[in-house]
Amino acid sequence: MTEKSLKVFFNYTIYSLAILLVFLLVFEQYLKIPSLINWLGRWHPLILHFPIVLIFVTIVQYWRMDKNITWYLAITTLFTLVSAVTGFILSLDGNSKGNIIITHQWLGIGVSFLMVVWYFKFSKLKDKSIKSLLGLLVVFIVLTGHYGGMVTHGQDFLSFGKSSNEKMLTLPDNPNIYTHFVQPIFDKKCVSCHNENKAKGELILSSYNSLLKGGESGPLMNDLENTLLHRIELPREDDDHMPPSDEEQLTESEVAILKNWFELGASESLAFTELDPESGIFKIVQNKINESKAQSWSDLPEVTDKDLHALNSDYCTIRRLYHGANALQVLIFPQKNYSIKVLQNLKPVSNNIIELNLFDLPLTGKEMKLLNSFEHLESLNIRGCTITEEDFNELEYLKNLKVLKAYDTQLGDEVVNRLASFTSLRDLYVFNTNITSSGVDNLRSKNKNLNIMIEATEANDFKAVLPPPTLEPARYFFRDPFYVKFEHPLNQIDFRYTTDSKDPDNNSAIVSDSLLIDKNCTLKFFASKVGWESSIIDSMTFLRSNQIPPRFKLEYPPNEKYIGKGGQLLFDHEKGPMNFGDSSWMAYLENDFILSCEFDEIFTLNGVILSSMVHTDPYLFPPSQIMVYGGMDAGNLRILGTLRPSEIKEREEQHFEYYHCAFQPCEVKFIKVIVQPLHKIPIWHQGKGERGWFFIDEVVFKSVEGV
Amino acid sequence: MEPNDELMNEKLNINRRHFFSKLSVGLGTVALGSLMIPGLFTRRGGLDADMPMLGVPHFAPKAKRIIYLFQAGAPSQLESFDYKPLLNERMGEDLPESIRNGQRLTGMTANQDQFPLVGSFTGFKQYGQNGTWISDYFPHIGKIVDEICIVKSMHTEAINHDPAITFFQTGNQNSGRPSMGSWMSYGLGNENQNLPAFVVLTSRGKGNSQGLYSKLWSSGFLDSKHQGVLLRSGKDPVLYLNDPDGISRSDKRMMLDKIADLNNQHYHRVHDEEIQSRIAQYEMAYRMQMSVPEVMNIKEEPESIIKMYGAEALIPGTFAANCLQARRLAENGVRFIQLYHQGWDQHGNLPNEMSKQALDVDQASAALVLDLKQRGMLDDTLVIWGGEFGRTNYCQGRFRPDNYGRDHHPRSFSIWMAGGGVKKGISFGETDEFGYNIIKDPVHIHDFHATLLHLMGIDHEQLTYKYQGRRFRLTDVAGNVVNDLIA
Amino acid sequence: MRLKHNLLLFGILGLLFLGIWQLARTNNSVSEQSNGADNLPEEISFNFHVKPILSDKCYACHGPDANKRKAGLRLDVEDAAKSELSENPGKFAIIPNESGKSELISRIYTEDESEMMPPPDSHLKLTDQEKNILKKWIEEGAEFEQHWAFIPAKKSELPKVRNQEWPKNEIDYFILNKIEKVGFDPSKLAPKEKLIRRLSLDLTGLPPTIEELKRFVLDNETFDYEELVEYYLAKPAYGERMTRDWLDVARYADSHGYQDDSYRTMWPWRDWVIHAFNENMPYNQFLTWQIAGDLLPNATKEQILATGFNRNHPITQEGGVIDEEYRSTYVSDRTNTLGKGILGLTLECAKCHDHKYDPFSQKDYFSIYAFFNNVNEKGLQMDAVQAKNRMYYADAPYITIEDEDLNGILSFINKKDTVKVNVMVMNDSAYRNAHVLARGNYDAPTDLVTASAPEAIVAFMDNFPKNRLGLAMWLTDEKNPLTARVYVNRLWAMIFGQGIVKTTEDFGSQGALPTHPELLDWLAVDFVEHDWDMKYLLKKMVTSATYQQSSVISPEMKKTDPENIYLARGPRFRLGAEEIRDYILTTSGLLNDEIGGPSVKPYQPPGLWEETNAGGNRGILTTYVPDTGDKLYRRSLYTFWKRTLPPPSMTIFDAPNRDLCEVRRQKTNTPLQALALQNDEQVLEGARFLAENITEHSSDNGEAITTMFNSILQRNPTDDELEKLLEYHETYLEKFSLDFENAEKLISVGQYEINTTDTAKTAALMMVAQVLYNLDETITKE
Repeated sequence: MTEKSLKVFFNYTIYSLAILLVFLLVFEQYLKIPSLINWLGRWHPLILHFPIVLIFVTIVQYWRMDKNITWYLAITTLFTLVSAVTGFILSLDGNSKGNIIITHQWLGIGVSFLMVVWYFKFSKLKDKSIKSLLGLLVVFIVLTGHYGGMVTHGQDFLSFGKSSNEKMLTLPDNPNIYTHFVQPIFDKKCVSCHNENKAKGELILSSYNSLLKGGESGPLMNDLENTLLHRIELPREDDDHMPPSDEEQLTESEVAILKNWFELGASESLAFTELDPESGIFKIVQNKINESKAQSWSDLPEVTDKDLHALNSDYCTIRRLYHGANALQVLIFPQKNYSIKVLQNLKPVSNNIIELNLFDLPLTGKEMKLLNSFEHLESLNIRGCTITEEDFNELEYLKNLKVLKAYDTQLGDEVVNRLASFTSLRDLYVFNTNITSSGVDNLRSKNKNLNIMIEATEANDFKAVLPPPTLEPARYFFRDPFYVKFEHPLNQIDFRYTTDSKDPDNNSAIVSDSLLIDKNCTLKFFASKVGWESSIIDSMTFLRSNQIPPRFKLEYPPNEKYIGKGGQLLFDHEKGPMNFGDSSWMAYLENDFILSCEFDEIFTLNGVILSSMVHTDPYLFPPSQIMVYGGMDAGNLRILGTLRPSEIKEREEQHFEYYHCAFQPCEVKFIKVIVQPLHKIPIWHQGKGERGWFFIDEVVFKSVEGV
Repeated sequence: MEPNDELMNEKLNINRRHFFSKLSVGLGTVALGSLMIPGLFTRRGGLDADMPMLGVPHFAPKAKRIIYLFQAGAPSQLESFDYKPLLNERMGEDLPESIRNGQRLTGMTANQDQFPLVGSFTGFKQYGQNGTWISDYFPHIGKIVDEICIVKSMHTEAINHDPAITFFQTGNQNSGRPSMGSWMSYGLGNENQNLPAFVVLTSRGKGNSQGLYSKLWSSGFLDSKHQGVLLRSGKDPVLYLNDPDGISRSDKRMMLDKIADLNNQHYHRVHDEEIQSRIAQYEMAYRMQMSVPEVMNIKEEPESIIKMYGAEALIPGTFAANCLQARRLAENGVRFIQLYHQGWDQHGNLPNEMSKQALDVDQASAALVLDLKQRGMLDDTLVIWGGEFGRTNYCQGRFRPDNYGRDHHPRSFSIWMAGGGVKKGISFGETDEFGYNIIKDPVHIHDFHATLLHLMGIDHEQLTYKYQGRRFRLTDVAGNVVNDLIA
Repeated sequence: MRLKHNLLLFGILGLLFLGIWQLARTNNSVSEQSNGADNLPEEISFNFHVKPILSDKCYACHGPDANKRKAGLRLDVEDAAKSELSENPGKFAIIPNESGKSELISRIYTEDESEMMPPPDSHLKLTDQEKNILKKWIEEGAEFEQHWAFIPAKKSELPKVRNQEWPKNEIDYFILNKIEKVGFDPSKLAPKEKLIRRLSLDLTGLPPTIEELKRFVLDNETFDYEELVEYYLAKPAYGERMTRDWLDVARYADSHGYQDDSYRTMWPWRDWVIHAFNENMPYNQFLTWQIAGDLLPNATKEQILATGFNRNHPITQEGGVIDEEYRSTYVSDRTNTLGKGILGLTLECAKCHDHKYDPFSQKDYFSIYAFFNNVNEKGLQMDAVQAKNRMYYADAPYITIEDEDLNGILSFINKKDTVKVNVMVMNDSAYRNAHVLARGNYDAPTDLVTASAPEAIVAFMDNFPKNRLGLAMWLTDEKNPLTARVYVNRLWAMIFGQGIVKTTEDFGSQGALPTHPELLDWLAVDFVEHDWDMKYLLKKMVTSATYQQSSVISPEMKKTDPENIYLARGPRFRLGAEEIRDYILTTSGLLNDEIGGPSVKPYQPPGLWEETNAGGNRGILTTYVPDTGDKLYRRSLYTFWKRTLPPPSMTIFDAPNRDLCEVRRQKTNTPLQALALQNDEQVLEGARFLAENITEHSSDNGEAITTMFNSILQRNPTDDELEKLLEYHETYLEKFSLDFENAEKLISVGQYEINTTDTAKTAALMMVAQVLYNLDETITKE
């Protein structure tokens, strides 16, 4: 093909294409495009890039006075027309053209004709008019390109940062599902094709109403199988899948949100709190809310982990409120050599500090002045700090301060006006300060929605009962007289007591400091103090035991379940604890407790006391009877006394019991004590008829001198 | 080069990171390790490169700390927060098999031929705006009912104390997993560098009690610095805290300086960073010796506060004292405060023992909540009260009109929570009229843990530690956040 | 002209590219990567580069666990991984050499969350590096290899090294080879006194005595290292040191654990272990006896005693538990212990479901379980209260050790009193069917299984009996690729502070990879060839030049190899809990080196047991009463171990609580450790005792301090150190001579009776001792 004929070929094609274009424009509304042609339209997005570049290339070549300029012109013009035609066809594919498309279309056509003019009239035109033509051309190209962009990428795809601004809007605590979650998805992923200008499938997703109107498949809500959802959920390969496989896809969570929202009736008013917490959407929304919380502080200056690392010290902890946030929480703990420097060091991040805790520190006006520069401070805690009212008043208007904790301080009504000036203050904790109720009222009157915690009112109707005193030493069995002290965790306590087995009352004797115990007795006592309820009445029995048999033996061993630490526990002067499993207790069930003792020298015995325990639930009962034998030689002992503890009539709490078998004084060298555990538990008890346990932890022989 | 050389080069890259962070610690900035990433020192890896930064919550937390009033031995829900009048009406009748359907039994009641229902001996009253029923054992808790959230639908698998408590504390019935508190310390670090992030206080009631085990506050496979530190009443609140007799603080200071001096010399000989961090640890210990006794000293608490908690608060080692202690620790930035009160295992003599147990804890528990409230700490402090499982609605052993006991019941039990972003004054979940099965909103231990972590700003699925090739979580492989509990 | 034509050409071409790009936008994700392609290994190794990624990030859903497997895709088996995807026909996860067509690749590179692998909700992510490795691997043909640890070990050629002088034995060739590759030089030989200290600590767990120092270092001109090694291996303390580690593996304790945690008498078993180590019993025999001693033909009482190993697990004494639930727990515990302690595998992961990373099915787990399932035992033998009253300290089955036994083969048992001792042991006298338990629950038996061991490791021969004896044979069979490797690696870790495989407890897919694979294999094979001779193996390690290097870290080494992976320097790490206490006892001269016998109760802060017990009558371990006299100063492996509240002086220094088998302790550095070393009664008493002795014998302060320094650190102080300590000593000499009262208080610590003529001097010297005991160097092996 020679150069000439090639030129001819170009001339004709360009000519005919131009004609075609005009024709299309004129007969637009009468056109019925066959699908094949229609398909040609799809090439527009591809082809359109050629002319754009080519045109610029051509222009450059023109400046450079290129000999082959005509060839460039030919090719460029050709491509320009082709893309114009395909573009036109494409525009017919969608329905009702929006203004943007119209503009784009005419600009495009403008470009093509300018090219055609340039191509054919090239030789004839003067240099000057060519220049102006080129200028015009450039302007057209740019505009066409821009509007084209708008069609595919949405109205404001060129306008800066707007999208990021949208992100910044923070969610309320109870966001509306449609406005805060659903619509944003459409805006992000759908509206570019489904807007007023370019309503693919007649569907417009830019507003709630237009959404309900639905598209070709009719109003969304009447459309049972919800084409919109359906097409979203189709596999990506499927031609009907939305968004088109070459567009940005919906994320799982976005799909979930849409699905749930539709299922819940696609209401415009549906709010977060109305959601079912089990539902998938709930969790998603929840997270989004949390994320957005971050953004409420997102305008705070950036802080690096390195800075934080550097600022932290032994007594000063600085941490982000949560991962990725520039909002900081600061805690400063009491320290010996505190100085204001600790606070001054915070300067670099003072604008990031949302929460500041100063504990038990000696604060002055200087610190307060410093705080004035912490403009984002929302919560301030100066619990237990020593600070004067004047100094505190150095604190000026903190516009964001919501919470102030100033309890356990010396602050008084002097600071009320200052506090009132913090208009955003919501919670104020000032119990255990000098602020009076009038001060509080004053404050309330100035700041209506301020909660003031002056003290936990409920706390007052707690009635405080004193614990009973403890006796030191708690020596139940003693050999020599000794003093017991009454001890109590609180100071200024009155201890009242009796020894005559009557319950003590407020007229009973008061223990001075300590009490001499020199004979067997039972102390009953309680603690009392003004402003408190008196303690319950407690009691303790002291038994003098100065006759310890050097030799003794038990006829039968104790029951295997409670062997204790062996026979010696009977004379070790140790009281077993309430826990009868303890090794200072031994117990008998089937066998009798038979104890025979031999003494080195004779003494006068006038009674035996067995220290035991009663607890009916676990079958601990008084024995059936106790018999004491004594005499001068093991061979013939005569009975000295017998004791039959009175039978128990009803359930009894666990308590110590002392069985005192008293009798005429009698000289003894040998003693034998026989105890028969209860044979038949009384009928009222669940173990009726069974045997009862006999527990013992000490045996006391009362000698006449002893008493 | 052989392939595994490559591998080691990769390792070394990672090691550089190790080394630098190690260095910074060596310089003694943060001792008990809150801000640096834990696990750096553990020579068993554990951390994933793509894991969210530790030491800060994943998202905005509702609670900053937790005070857990654990009632060891399992208090009966039927005498406390789950009111079941039907049991009193049908006193002594046998529990319908339809209700029990196959629940496994402990060895104590397994050979019982019948299960006689027994109702609470103590009365119930209505409290608060919603007229919540609470037993007369807990009048003070009744008074604060509008502050708390009662969960009546807790359930677990374990039916014996050891596995049940272990499950509650570590998320697994068998030992070896880190305790809840250790996870918090690992995930959030501690606020106060001079106190441990996770402390434990124990007390014992008058009732039949069950043992406690250090594994309940062990850090399992996590770095042992996350272990719960047992704070004890008496002169040595932390093990080995006190200097020996005859040595003053200034002596100790001198000694530390001398030790540091010599250690430094050695450092310049062998250049091992471990020496530097050892020096830092000694400084830390020195500061703990000051701060711990300060926090533990309740002398200067005003009498009004003592009154609130009850005078037992002045007797070291009582539940009341521990509650007051807990508040002070919370105020001083301790992350997780674990109390155990033993003595709730009422297999027999329940009415009597339980009334005593309740007396120990009722007032102090309520006081703690109010005290936190008046300090504005209830908003970001979560208080939890409850045991390891519930107790049966039938009595253990033969039925008698005058007394009874209850066996272990894992299928339903009640706990309560307050503050820390939990809804106020609500009851959550329901059991059937027999108080045996849950009929509404069951909450499993794993859900409970997930919810706790969520309140603390942690996604329970993302707080993991890799050990023996597996990524472990407090919630194992289960757990859903119970959003209805969250305010 | 031509140029201008080209210009046009380029123009057109450019435009064409533009168009292609337009069309390609849909599936560009694949071609769009290659960021971070830097530092890819030139040659991809499946085991070293690919497997770790697949295992860690993919196996959870595409691994051995059949129930959890997603999309029918399995990536741990070659055929499965390369075959057509059952759920989307026509697609393949892996097509060798064609990463573009391999679904795996497109799925890991895609940005689309619905497609992305690993899925976002798994919270797992692949780094670019990892993605690129996988891609490269597939492009290079996607070759699979068997997991390295399951390939039988073989001795490879000793690698070539440039520096021929340095190596002392085979080990050094492997180490040096790597060191030279990365361009380091090995560190110089450690000084004598450091070496002897290191050696003594490693082989006996104790520091060298002054006498030993004199004998081997100071006096002896020709310092014979070999002799030194022999000497320490021969010391009875060697057995104790080795036992200390084995107790963690065997989860040994003196109490039952669980709720009431009362007393048990297992200590004679401990005596046996010490005996076995000192006798240098071959490792295969050591294992066989402990696992199946009772099943050996006419088993001796000693062999039966050894089986106590499998009864060391916790046993409940909580009244009213469900028998079977706990019995099943015990059997599982034995199974897990076998896995972690001997095979270095996380078998327990296969209890509730097929293993997620390693080729073990749930069935495999219960086939091993079956071996341990026939013990004639009960979940709950007796509750704590009964046990206490009956003085029943060993649950059946047990053997009774009586005095006459001591004259016979059990002479090694250190039986204090004439009371009989019962020791829990294994038997097979209660055969039970073993089932796979659904979700591992004792009450959900499913398919019946027969006792066997996982094929994946090595076949369980037909000629092996189907009982524990057979299991032992399988374990100690030389074809078993794990047993020897795992033990060699653990001894290596004991000596060098870190295993060749860092995760000594896990040799599976998720475990760390060997840093010196050939060395590990060489040692393992060598170990077996020498009849599993432990002393031989240890000797090999400690006589290597690698071991004898100085542990000083050069700055550049600190940067490039902080963890000492290349071993271009000697080991340096903190001593274990037991070693620290023993160190103080030895150096102070308090140590009572009696061997074996019942556990003892040294000092412990009062009240610990009391505060947590379950009430005074629950068992006999409710109150802690410290021993008196020389029982206080026994080595720490004899310290009474109450499982629910182990001795704090141990746990504070990272000792495990012995609830489960542990093979690796942490080496942490905490303030509580600082407090313990400063204020633990034992440390203070040690300081006092040492001070006393020295004041007795040396009048001159300088001399006194030097002596003290020597006995604690086994080296002479530098002038500077000496000066500093002297000055410190001076201050306190003055202070205490004025402040007599406090001096009195200070030295009155501990039970050991005070005998000093000069209180002030002793007190002052005691202060110095405390400083020395708190030095990093003191509690560190270097």
